[in-house]
Amino acid sequence: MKPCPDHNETLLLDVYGELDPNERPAWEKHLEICEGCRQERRQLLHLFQTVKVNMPSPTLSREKASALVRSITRKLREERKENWWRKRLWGIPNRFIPAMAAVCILIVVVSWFSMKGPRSLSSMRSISNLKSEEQILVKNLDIIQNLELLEEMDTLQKLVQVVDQGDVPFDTNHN
Amino acid sequence: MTLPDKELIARAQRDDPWAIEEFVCRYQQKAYAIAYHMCSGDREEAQDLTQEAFLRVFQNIKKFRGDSSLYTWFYRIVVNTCLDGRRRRRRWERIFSRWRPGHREGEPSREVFEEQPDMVEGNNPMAVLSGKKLTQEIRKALMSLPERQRVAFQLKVFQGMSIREIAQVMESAEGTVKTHLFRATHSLRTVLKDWVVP
Repeated sequence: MKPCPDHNETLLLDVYGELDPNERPAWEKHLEICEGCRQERRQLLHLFQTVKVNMPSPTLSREKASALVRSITRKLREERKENWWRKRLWGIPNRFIPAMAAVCILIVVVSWFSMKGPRSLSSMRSISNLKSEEQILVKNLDIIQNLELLEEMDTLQKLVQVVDQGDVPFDTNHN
Repeated sequence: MTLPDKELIARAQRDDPWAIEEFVCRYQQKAYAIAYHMCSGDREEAQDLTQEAFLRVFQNIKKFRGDSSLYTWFYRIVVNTCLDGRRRRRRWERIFSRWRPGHREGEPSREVFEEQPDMVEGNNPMAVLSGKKLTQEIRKALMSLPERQRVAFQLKVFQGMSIREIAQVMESAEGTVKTHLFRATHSLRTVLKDWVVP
């Protein structure tokens, strides 16, 4: 036998012990005449009873309960100490920490690049600071690199000399 | 003479160590019972969640202005801590289950079902076996409910809260809580129909 669909909510509120006292007399009258609702009510009450009996709420033993109290109070003390140091050392709220970290990273990056610039300049300047022997070596290196050009220039010079010699006027007094 | 809750809270807000200890002693069994039912009956996890809930309570105790009752404010923190803990655990299980040997894709995570002490039937082995099986069936049925339905049902049946109190704890309307309760009852009744016929 099925319960009346119109009384579904009233039935559930009744088994949960939440039925309005004003509605109770009418509901009880209905129960007297309706076998379906009566049966459903009995089954639901039995369901809740079965669930409660088979799933009892456990209790903490005295030792575990006192251990829990100790652990909570210790953790709270630690947290408070930590917060106290944080306030003393920094005096800033936690929400600013990421912003400060970002600023620090920015400073490191900027200083890194500014350090790198002068170093490259100094490497350019360093040639003038070399010792005299090193300067000679650098010059020699220059000559070696331009050797072909120098050889060509030497050939040209010789050619000019030969041409110049050819231009000497004949001795008119020569017989 | 026991100190009234209001006075106790006022002292705890001033970081009085005695008040903090007294508060934990007064509410730890209730918090533990909620945590135990909400985390699949794992006693160790329930203890950890109880501790976490109390820490959250004391971290936020200065924000408590007494607009709602201490009872509902405290239970709200406990319930939320348990739900967070459960979600966190599921997330880890999902991550680590991939590397667990013998894991199959789509396999549901295994819930912890601790054995309850023997039921009233006591010496009759069949009755004990039947009781244990029934306990497992009830747990399974409860865990299969949607989260909010399960919380509403557990607070009602195990903690004996009124619908109004549950609504305050769950931060929902009373009508919504009623709907959760009715749906949960309907589901449980269907799943446990073989066990609950009187």
